[in-house]
Amino acid sequence: MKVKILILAVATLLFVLSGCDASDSSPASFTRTEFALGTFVTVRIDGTSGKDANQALDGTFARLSEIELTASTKNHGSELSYVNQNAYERGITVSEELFFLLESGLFYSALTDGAFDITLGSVVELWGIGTDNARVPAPDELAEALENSGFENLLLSAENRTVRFLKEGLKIDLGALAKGYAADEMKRVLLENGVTSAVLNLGGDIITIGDKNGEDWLIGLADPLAPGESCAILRVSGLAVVTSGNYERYFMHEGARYHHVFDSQTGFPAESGVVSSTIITDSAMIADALSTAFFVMGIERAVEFAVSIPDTDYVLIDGGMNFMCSENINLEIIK
Amino acid sequence: MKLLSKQNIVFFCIIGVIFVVSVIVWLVVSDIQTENTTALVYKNGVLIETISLSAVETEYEYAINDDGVNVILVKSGEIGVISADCPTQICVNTGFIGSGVIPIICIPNRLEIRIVGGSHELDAVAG
Repeated sequence: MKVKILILAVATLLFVLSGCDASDSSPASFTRTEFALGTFVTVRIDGTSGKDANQALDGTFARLSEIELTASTKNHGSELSYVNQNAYERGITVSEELFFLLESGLFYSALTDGAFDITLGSVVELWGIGTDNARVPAPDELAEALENSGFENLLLSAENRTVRFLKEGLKIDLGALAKGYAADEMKRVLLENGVTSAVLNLGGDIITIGDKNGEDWLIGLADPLAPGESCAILRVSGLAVVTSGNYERYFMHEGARYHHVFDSQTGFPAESGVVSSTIITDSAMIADALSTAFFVMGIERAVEFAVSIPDTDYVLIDGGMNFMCSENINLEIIK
Repeated sequence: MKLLSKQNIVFFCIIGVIFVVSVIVWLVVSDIQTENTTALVYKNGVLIETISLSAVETEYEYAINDDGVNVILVKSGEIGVISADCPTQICVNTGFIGSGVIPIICIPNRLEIRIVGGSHELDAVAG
């Protein structure tokens, strides 16, 4: 009997010692980072072999490159850039992918009554935030750019997949949609490659696959007042988490901060009182569009609007670090 | 009440020693794991430098001068960009990082500094 107990004790010791080495006991984790769509994209895959993970990573980053060639405004050779240069003079037939993005963008522009608006390309370009040419535009310049914007000036024909602009200076900017769409597509490629556990980070747009070894993924929300830190933690499995904030891209001019989320009514950075707007839902593309829309709408209008959107949760933070969240959200505020 | 025999006392002492050794080893290894914080420096998405922040005894700075300039200060357990020629200065304003998964990002210069290891519990940060 005592011998058996002794054997059990030694076995316990060995078990404890083996458990000490997390790298051996945890499933393997593979991470790759690349620069695309104007930001850093990191994919982490858990619980698969190195060969399978690398094959999945190759496939998912190849898909990202395809999307960049279609929808990037920063890449002057992209399909979208061609459309922006030519769609006023004549209807342009576009790829299925770009048509889907434009159709989706137009849908959410109309749904949010322009709080999210893909036709603000001229305004975005004028401000130049995030470039060497960032500046506060002159009032007449801004008025002209706004005059050339508006989603009602974008015509799509599903029959022959054409795009036509009704204003000469109209420019499409898919910056608040394409990253989310790319996240959805990258996730799809990983799933097709048999990946069951992963987290994808496209410059702060997060989408997850499955869970982390039986536990929820822990997704921090950047602190708007100290972006190097988190102010809250969300627990999600298989969902997307996308945040729009006034701290992500901005420039300072005469002591004022000008950020990159524009109000289609004024052409200025939106000042709705919201400093961080997070959407949690299945699709990163939808989360991307709605996080921008909620940011521009402000808390009262966004909360009212959210009632009409099923299976979508939100976290809104105002300048006083007050949180407004949907009811069933698994959120831990740590600041 | 029956007293334990000498043989039983020795036996339970062995069990006790095994238990204490297990706990000590577990604590020591856990401590080593949480302290092993490493900074990964990416340029254009390519890993160009791996810095063990736990091993830094004397702080030092160096510049990445390749398609844009970012001056990086490495301290014990922390790393940050202290100056840059980018227009946004967001990399500088992010400050120092030594834990968590919030990276320092300089989009104009395509520089990213990310922390791995350490005691953080987050898998990603939205924002």
